[in-house]
Amino acid sequence: MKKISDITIIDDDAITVFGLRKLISSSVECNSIESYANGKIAIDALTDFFNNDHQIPQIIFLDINMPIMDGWEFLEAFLELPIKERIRINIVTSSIDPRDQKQWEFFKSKSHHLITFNQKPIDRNTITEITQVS
Amino acid sequence: MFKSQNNSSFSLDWINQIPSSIAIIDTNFKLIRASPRWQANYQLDLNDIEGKNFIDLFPELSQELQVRLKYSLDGLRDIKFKYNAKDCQYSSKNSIWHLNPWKDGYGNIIGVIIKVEPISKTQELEIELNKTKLILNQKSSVAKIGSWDYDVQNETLNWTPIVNKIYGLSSEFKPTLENSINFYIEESQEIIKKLVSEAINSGKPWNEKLQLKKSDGEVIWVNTIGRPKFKGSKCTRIIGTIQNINESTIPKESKIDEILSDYPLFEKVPLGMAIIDITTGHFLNVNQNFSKLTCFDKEHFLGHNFKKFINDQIKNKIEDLKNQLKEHGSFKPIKCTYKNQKNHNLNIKVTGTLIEGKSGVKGVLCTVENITLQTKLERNLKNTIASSREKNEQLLNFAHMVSHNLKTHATNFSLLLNFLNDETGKIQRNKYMNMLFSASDNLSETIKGLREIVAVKSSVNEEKKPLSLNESLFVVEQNIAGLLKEANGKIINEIPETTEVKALPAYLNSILTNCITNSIKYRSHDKKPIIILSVEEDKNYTIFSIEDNGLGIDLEKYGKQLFGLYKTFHRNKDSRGIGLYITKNQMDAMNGKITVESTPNEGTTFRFHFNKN
Repeated sequence: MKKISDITIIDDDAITVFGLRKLISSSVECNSIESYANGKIAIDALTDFFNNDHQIPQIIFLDINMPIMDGWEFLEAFLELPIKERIRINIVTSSIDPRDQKQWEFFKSKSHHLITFNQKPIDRNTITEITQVS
Repeated sequence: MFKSQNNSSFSLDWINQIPSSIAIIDTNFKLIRASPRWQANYQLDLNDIEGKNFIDLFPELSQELQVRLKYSLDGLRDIKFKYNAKDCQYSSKNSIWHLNPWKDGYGNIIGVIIKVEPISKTQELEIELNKTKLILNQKSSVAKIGSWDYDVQNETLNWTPIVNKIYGLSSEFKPTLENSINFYIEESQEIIKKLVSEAINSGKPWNEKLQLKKSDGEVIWVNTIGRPKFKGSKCTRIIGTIQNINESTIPKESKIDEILSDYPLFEKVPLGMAIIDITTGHFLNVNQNFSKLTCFDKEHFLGHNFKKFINDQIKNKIEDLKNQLKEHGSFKPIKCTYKNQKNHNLNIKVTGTLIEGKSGVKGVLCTVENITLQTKLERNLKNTIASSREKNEQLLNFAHMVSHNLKTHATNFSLLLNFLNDETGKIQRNKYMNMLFSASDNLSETIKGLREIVAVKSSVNEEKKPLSLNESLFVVEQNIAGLLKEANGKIINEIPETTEVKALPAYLNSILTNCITNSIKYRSHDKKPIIILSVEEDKNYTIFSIEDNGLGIDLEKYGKQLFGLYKTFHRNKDSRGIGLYITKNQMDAMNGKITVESTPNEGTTFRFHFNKN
């Protein structure tokens, strides 16, 4: 298994973050797992990384319903950063609203990053599958 | 007679000497003498014609000549008579005969001296002109053509009395360019003004049919012709004519009857009907139902242009309707509003079909139907559909939100329980247990929020009553006193003691609590919260305003989501995204509305419009 350098989780629900962290660390090897409570904090941090030539996390787990800046707004801002590497962005949501599905298809089509759409709950097999460098 | 003849023969020898062309006849038109020149002119020999009846020599002229010769014998001097060569056999040259009485030494008229002079070009023209003038005068009075002359430099206008007649004015009327144009109906005025200015500025003549409103109010069609006259490059005069062509343009009563005879049901159909002349746009006829609908007599419309009676909404469509008539012979029904004489605003539906009378008069047969009631019902139905569609949308959103939120908790539970199951270490297990408790608290909180929302939706049927705004505020302020004190905030109440709003008590309490709490919750970090409460009244609403100096909301970004469920815009631990959603629902349920103004980092003003009904 290829080692993953950095993983980022963006979710406002502490229990979900905890669960994801645990699942990821027991399934794959990685240097660090960072988490942010909403899109705004996350995009500020990632923009900072980009401007200072820090490593951008290779895999991002992204929740949709968050206060202040939700998952879609984060994606929009993130796609504007001229990042050359192909980042894997796993959307993780409990939403069954077809409008969210449409949004995902829209973003997927206009980005060179790998964007996946995953329904909660996520089991260990899925985690292993979607936690691979794209 | 004999004597005179002797006298004359005696004294007439001079005629042979003169170079002019002269003939002399006696009172019986008998030729007495003719100068050699005259004989040469007409190639006649005096020996052959002496004593013959002069009139018989020129049979082609006999009638006119006889009349004039008689005048001359009566003593009229210098009567001119044109000898037209082409009519006569003797001379190929046109000439003018001057007839003068021939008198004896006592002044008695004893004959006529006829002097023939070759005709000059000018004279010929002059005579032609006089003739034409005469003919014109006769004709113009028949055809009612008036002529006019406008002096551009002095801005004076002169016209013939016939123009006064056409205008229906007394002969004292002093025309000016302005007052003469003012008699045209509005649309024609614009055209004639344009024509005059084009004539003056670019020398363009005109020939146009326009409508003129006579001084007695009758509208007639006139044909106006104008020709600009230039001196150098400047237009100095415009001369022209004006003719009443009403008889030829406007269909007469008989034509209406003729059209009507094709439509015997005109008066009987239970619809308003009108026939409009397609060329002039005039009402030719309207039926009783039409009068009933408009509350005006028939006479209000007949002979007037339909454009006078319609609003701009339709005026803009006229071109389109004309095209439809041209292409399909009818136009699709149009709906519009009409204010009748009783000032009732009616919704009407108008259809039109092209019709043609036997003599080729083209008209548009219009039906007019009052659909005011129908429109009203239709509108109600549309509103109902719109509101139920909105409710459906809300319900669907609600279902998605609820399922989403409950699912989040459910997954958290299963996640934690799985971890707990796999874990044997006591410390770690305790940690999971604590997390499970907090997950359970979150679930309860979510369900509580949902119950609040359902409560709003279910108590819609309760009755509103007038409530003192200040009394309700007092209760709310007691409840949030702790929160306010902790934030070191201040409420400034500018609401008059007497202000009442019509509301459900529970809703009003909830709304006031929610908005004041929000103002404190989302206060600025570096300012003491100040909340100003005030009230305005308008026709339909009592408007309660709550203004704060807090964080503010970027309305451009979040305006659409502001009242959405589970939408929070500030990082705040106790933001649930439910408060404004409920408040909005409560105001909607009471037929009120909420408006909001906000500037980020300066503050927010919410206005609650409580319906007075």
